[in-house]
Amino acid sequence: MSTASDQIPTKSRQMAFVIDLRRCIGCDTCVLGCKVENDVSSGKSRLKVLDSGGDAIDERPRGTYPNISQYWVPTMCHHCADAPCVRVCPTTALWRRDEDGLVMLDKDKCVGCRRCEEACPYDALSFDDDVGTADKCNFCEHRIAQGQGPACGLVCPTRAILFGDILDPDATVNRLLATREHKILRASSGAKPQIYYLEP
Amino acid sequence: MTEHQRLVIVGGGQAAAQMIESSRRLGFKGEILLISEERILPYLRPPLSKCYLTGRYTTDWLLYRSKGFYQQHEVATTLGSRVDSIDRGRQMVESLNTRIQYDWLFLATGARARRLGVPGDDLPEVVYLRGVDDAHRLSNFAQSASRAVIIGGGFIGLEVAAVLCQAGHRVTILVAGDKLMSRFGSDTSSVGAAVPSFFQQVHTAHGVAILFNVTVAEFRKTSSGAVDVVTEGHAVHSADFVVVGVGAIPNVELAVDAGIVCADGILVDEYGVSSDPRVLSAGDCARHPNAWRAEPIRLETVHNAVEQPRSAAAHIVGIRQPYRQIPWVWSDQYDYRVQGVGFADGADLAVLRGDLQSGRFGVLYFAKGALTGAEFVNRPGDFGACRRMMNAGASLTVEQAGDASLSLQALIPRHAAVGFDEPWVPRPSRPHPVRLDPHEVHS
Repeated sequence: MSTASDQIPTKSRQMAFVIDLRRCIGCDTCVLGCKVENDVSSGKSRLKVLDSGGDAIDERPRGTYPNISQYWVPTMCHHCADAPCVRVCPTTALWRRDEDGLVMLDKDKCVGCRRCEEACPYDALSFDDDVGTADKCNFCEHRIAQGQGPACGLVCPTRAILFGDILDPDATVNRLLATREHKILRASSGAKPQIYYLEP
Repeated sequence: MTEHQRLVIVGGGQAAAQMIESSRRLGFKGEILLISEERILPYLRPPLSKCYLTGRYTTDWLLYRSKGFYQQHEVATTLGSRVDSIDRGRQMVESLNTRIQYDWLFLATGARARRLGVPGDDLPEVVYLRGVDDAHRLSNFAQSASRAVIIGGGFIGLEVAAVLCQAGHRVTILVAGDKLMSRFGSDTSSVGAAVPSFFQQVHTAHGVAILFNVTVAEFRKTSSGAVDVVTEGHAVHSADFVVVGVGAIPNVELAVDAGIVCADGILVDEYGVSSDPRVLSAGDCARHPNAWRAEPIRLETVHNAVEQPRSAAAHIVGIRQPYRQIPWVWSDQYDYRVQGVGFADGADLAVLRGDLQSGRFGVLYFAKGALTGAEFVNRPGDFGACRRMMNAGASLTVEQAGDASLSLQALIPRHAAVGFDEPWVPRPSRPHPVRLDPHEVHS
């Protein structure tokens, strides 16, 4: 099992999500909370909830009765420590903030080329229909600046989405990772994503 | 292997910064020295003719990478300096009377604005927009004056016209040819001219006067402080300031003097290597082979400045990574973004996609039934799909191209479904989970 410290470079803070798949019930309240908080355009979203088959729409249990299972996987920008989108962005619209590891998007620099769309292993970007400007989760940076957590975690009725500094040994996110089996999505991408999923 | 090597980069544009980033990422461990005539670190040029003119952005905002990037990658930067000569036999460059040895020399000298060379060309009110200092001059004029004449109907002229027009200036564009955006469209049919014609209508609707087939003969300063633009037909267009955007000339003199083979650009192969195996080049100044063209091409695009150095960086660390991507460009004018991919010239068929009147349409170009290029106005999804198709070698039929109800994005899936690489261990074998305070959201 890879540990969080394997995934990130040395720095003072690295903010991350820890998502408890055992708690998530696939209700999509996080999707709505994010849209409201960030005024996300109609028809777009910054996060989606996949079911265990990797589908956000056609949700159904896997297996053969009585051995069936189903869980849900909320996914958004993974704020990768070695973000492929940052590497390919030709205008530096996407960049990584040193102080806390957030992958930021400067919309004024985005030219709608969609190189990030090709590079992102998590399908985490959406695009304006008119001129193609990208949009994505920013961990509710405006709330972090006020000492609050992201809106998706706030509205989650089962408290499945937790947020914190993965480099702080006293943080709840670290305590969970130390005691629960966890994985990252598409580990083979090598992007060092900063969303850790606790076992379903 | 590269620990004891020195990479000298000449030029301070986006290609130079990308060469640094890519060579370090790919494992170049040697010394890197950046020598640039610019007084600031490599920066983004495209905003100079767009939003940067509004004065809402700082010079730091333009930087391609922050100062910390160069420190982090242990790059020695010498700004405001030029390289005077290259001694290829000794593998040295001379700068400020100092000789500097190199193992690899990367020429990213870019291009400079083509000048009209007519009387009055050097008046302070005549601005050739190329660097950040030019943009500051233009921005200052824009804040204190109201009448502008723009020479040239390419991207730079039209983008500046849009910014000035939106700021309330009276703008006249003088074009030497008979259409705008001469590198866009084809002569196959009226469809082939749809994008340039559309932007002509948009600018006209915003009050911009556009005159075609006009050749400038002279700039004259008047007693009132204005500038008269005098044409060869003796027409006079008065303005408070003039912006000239009539193309660029590659900066190849350093390479030519060193005996490196050049032909409207430094000739390089698909790895960015010039006629001297220790000298590489990329960006606006390099002419390179392209899979979609019979002859080598030189591109003045961001795409080229970013992607070509990746191949050059790979070469110096011993990785074969040819530069074979389909080129693309974009331009922002008013509320429209035009995005082009591939090539329109040489096409024998132009297919309209979408509705011209809606301001959301595309023109796709075919030669012998194969897609060669496409131009889209406010159809960014189609643009992305076409670029991916062409890079992947996927085919598109003429019927599919013209059917706007068909999603091009659905024809070229991005990647497999998102999931975990390994299955979870069956639940009964796992330890019991730690219980959390149900109200705890974040630490």
